Amino acid sequence: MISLKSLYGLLSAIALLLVFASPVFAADTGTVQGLHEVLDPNSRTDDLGITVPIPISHPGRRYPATDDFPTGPDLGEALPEFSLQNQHGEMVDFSAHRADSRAVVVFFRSVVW
Amino acid sequence: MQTLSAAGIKVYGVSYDAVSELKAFSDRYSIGYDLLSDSDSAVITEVGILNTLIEEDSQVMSPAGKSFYGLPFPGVFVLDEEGLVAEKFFNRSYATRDSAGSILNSALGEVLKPESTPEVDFANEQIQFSAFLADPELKLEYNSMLYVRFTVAEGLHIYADPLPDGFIATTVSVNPVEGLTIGEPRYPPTEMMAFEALDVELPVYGGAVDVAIPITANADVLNWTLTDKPDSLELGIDVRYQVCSDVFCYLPKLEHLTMTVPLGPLVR
Repeated sequence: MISLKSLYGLLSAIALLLVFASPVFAADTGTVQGLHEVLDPNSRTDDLGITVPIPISHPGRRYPATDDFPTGPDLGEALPEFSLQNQHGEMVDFSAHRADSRAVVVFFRSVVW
Repeated sequence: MQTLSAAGIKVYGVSYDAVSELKAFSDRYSIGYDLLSDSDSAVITEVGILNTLIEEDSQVMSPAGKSFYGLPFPGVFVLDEEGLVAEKFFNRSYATRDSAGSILNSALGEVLKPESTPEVDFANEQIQFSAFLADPELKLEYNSMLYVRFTVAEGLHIYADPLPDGFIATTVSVNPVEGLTIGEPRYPPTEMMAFEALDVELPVYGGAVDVAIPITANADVLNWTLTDKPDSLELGIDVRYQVCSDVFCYLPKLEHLTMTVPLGPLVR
């Protein structure tokens, strides 16, 4: 039989552990971790084996270290309403322009670098 | 693109580039769809995909003088007729993306066999199957799909798991190849068929079904540091099946198909 005293000791040890470990737990939830925080920031090769003469820490090469990153509305949800100018300078109200058609919307990084 | 517009599907591109930059690109590549300029990244932020790993005050600029802050985590949304998200394609690395064929099939809601795609067939009187790629060639880190399309003759069927002992399920497996990342096969939903003589219901496929296997060319072979990159890779596909009618079964078969997969360069 475990005595009450040693049980108390065990519980307080666990409580202490949780208090000191909480910063570690906090880092796991919420914020996205970048690959440059996981790999050597000066590394030129990422975990896909792609080698480029620019280090992983460079802002242009920053991307998430895991699949757990924000990707916008879920399946079954809608994109927000928005109006933006297209390449010809015309203002396009997205939902009005799409009307009742199916659509493919590509969010890409840049056409100019 | 013609296939998408013929099917009445509208395409939009959104980036933080200015209208003039998008216009130059659009003219150069004769882009017929709208490229929308989200130059302050307001829409990117509202959609919820702003790349928060890049600091706002970063002094590092691109060669064209643009700050990297404001970039999204790049991805594609496929929307249905009501504007609701039907499918999303997001990869954690910008260098990994989904191929045109993958996105096209998702938007159309069916698997199209493109004209110039590599294809290997097998046929006999009871069953015919063809293995084909969603795209004419594989490029580095473009997620594509290998399909094996089965067409079973009328009155006949093939089985799917789970099955009791003694029955052969239809399985497709691809032998590992250096330079290709091959995913787990995805089998389509089955119908339950009642076999009165055996007093059992079993999952079967009849008619035409597609088994999909994710396939991507990786940096093991398509690596710019290697001088001798191959133009194509050989893919070995094993197909195991047993064709039955409701009263008898043919012998179980194992067919081996070999497909040559062309490897393409990235557009620079």
